[in-house]
Amino acid sequence: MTIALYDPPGPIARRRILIGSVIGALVVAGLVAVVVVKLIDAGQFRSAFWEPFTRPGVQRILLRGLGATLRAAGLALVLALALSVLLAAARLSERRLVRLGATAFTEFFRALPLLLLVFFAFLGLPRFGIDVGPFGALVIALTLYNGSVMAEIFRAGVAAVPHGQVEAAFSLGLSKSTVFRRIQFPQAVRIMLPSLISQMVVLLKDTSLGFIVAYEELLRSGRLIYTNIGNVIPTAIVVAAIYITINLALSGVAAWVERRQRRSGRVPVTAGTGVPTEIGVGQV
Amino acid sequence: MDVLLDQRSLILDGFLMTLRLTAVSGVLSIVIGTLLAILRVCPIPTLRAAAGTYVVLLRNTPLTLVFVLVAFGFPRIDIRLSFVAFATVALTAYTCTFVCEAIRSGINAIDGGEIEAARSIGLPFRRVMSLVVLPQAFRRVIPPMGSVLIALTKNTSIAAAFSVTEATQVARRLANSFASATIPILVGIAVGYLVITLVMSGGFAVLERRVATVR
Repeated sequence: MTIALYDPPGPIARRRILIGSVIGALVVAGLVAVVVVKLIDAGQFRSAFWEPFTRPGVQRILLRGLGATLRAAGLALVLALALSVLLAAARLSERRLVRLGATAFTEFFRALPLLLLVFFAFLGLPRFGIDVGPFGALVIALTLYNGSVMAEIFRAGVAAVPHGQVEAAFSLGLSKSTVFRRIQFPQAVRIMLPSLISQMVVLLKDTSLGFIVAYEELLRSGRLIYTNIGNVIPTAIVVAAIYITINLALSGVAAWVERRQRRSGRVPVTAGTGVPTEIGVGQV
Repeated sequence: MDVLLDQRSLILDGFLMTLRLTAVSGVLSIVIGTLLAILRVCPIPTLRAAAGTYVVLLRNTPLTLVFVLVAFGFPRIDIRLSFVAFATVALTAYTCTFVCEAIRSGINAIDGGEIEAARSIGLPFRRVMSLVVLPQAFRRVIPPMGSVLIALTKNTSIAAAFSVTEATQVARRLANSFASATIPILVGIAVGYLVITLVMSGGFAVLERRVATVR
């Protein structure tokens, strides 16, 4: 924020802020203390609940789960990127039917709960004799949903490329497909890179739906641990820490890319700031 | 197709539960999210930091994990509620952080001159927020807030895995009981979700036009 919501504090305000800080700190500390006491009373800090995480066997389960999470996320990401480029190109097509089809496709898959898509692939596809298993179902659902979301990101990115670029390319006699491939697409990628990386955080979080269809990803591996040891809360905290670390690293990369672009000045500024806010919303 | 008609009361109940989860968690999320957003911009550093930490932690945790922590973890510390209440708590705890960020971006987007003017006539922080900043921020955040609430509607489906009989769980149950009609069942439920999300996005578009001010 460039403009402060309050005046620079004078002596009285400074004292008031100090008092407020102390009271605020006490309230926050009080809330945390209530939670901690509750956890202690319920014996959630006993070593039998936390010691297992030092055992190589348990760590291997978590690592295997993390590997499965990254595998599903990685494959879905590659497929979703490919799908989104196709969809974005189709939505820019001159043929009305192609454009409408792509629009209907993206709107349809963005409007459905991801879990329902997983069930479609998991329970529905076998009706056609295609059994994809939990991993396949998860990857298919993630691809369809994220492909559609990323297609929108692409479209916003392409729309943000200054129109003069396209006009200049056409005036050089380049064909429409060449203009898209050589002029619009490369610049659009730069503009939307931060949003695209943010969407990866969403995709990674959504792999945890594997928990529901028995794909042994990170959260499901956590279940394996807590059903054996009975330490739901400690396991949830450990698993959450892993997710948060990875996601913060990804967000860090996104922020770094955005900063670097703003510095280099080669990306139109209006676009660079306009696209992420629009897309940031989809990251629920 | 017959299954959809035969089981219409079950399906209808499922969607009513979906709507109920959405409505209750939506209202709670908007209230708590607004408070969080105010804390995140307030002059007191400890409250800013606490609210910021909460938002960062919850935003980066998968919703399914939040559900596990609430639905399976809370009973361990003797907090026993119904499954619907657990689902509402999990959805609210998660969604309010996105509401907070939407409102915060709305606050950040407000013309600095407005804030300077408010301060120069001597309004304190509370008044600057309640009279000048938030009324404008709410208008600006209607489109992103719509997206957050539509995402919430879709996210209620995760409650299906935590013993709440909402639409997605109905779909799964029916698909298991009437395996031969799996596709019509899933399509039927999908259409139900489409109707809800499309009506919501239409409603938010109308609302956006209604409160739009001439600038």
